Amino acid sequence: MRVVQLVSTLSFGDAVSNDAIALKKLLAQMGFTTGIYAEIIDRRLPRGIAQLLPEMPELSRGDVLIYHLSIGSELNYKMDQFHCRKMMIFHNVTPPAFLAPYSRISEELCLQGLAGVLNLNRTFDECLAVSEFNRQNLLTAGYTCPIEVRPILIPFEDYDREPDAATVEKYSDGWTNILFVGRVAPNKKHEDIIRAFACYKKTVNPKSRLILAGSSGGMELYKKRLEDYIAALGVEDVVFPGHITFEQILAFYRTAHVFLCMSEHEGFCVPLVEAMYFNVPIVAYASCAVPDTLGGSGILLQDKDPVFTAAVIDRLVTDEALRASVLEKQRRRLADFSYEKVSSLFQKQFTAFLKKENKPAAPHQ
Amino acid sequence: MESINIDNVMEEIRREVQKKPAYKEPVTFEEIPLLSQAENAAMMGEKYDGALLRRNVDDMGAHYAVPYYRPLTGKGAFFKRVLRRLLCFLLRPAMEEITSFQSLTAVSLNDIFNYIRDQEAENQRKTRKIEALEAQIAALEAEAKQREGQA
Repeated sequence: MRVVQLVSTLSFGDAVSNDAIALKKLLAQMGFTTGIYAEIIDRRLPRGIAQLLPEMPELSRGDVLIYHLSIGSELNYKMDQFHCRKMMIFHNVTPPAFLAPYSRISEELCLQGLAGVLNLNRTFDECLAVSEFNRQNLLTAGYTCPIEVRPILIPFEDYDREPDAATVEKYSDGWTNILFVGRVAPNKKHEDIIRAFACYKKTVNPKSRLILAGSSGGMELYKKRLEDYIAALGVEDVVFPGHITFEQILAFYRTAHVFLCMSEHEGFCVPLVEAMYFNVPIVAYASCAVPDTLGGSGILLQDKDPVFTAAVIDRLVTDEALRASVLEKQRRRLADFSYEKVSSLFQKQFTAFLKKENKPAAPHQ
Repeated sequence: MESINIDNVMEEIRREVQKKPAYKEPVTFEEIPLLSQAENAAMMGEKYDGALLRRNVDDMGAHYAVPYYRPLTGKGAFFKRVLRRLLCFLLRPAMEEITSFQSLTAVSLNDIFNYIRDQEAENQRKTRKIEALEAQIAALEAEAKQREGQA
């Protein structure tokens, strides 16, 4: 029996691709013949990690296809062509309205992604949602198959590598570092992070900086607008490190004092878990999957008032007892995302899926 | 460890914030005009920017493929789909050729970038060596002058 994972694009360093790569390793450890197939494979990934779609072997009824859905793709309309057992891992699709002002292609891909989610609602034998928020989205989209929640599989040993020494030295200068890690994308609401930071820097702590780590590829117009916003606010020390190495990301986490997230659309939000791993207290706006991922840890904001957010950051930086309490809760929550726990959950879910009677999926409506 | 009630702390902070003088923001994000793609491109400088080149090469590596399939939405989506099916014999091989060409371009640009990076490192190494040699020559010249003076 073969277990094949299918993704539209296997990118370098994004959550969906990292999840697929981690699952490939796990499935191989479970003794399955496995592979990842994609329409597009990022050239920065190691050779042989995945194959292009035309190289995918023909699947038979005993095989299993795991499809990662996160964007519009022709694959969303080709699932009926695979005559095997099918499971979907749902990572969610960015609402197109966020992207519309900045990239028509991205907007259309997401529009098509949402249409694909609806189109596939009777195609799979089972779905795994990476958060409860995603599970609810699938239910709303009319999915009737069993839907289990399984967080993204994160191999934390990667984070134990040495951080970039020069970056650690540069940002260990006694200033307060506020960090956000994530693609520069409008749904992540960098403008709200900048807005809160401007208030914090101007009214509370002038010796502070904001680090917005993440690629802005494809979102140049949004980034330009953010830069113009920063200039208009007259706020200094906002850093867009741009293209950085993994070791530099580790260095940013190691030197951060607060992780600030104002995102309005996340299917899971891996950086929150990374912040937990690096013992960085989290302040996050309560939206989409963020409360699920935090699971009662961190500090959740119910609104984006910059004055209030700045005061919360200040308290977290200066109140040792509060900081220790927040970090303790984050450490407890982090245990839920340990590689052992999530891999064991996946093994349990996948084994149960295989044991289920091999019923063909209901015909597409 | 003593567990702190976060809700109580939030309430306390909220009360403190209410006592603070009003904070006036000079501008809102919505007031910042959005540039068009063309305006943004026009603003880019002509100076060599290694970091920008690295990013662009990486983006090329990630987006070299031009999928035949394009999402079809809006007015007349049905007719567009019919047209796409009718033109499939023409468009699919064309897109595959473009992807193949772009793939080669992306690989070549990556090689060029690596070459530039290696050359820059080599230039730096040579510059350091030249500086060291110049310092050595200066020291030798000074020593020679001193000997001439003594003679």
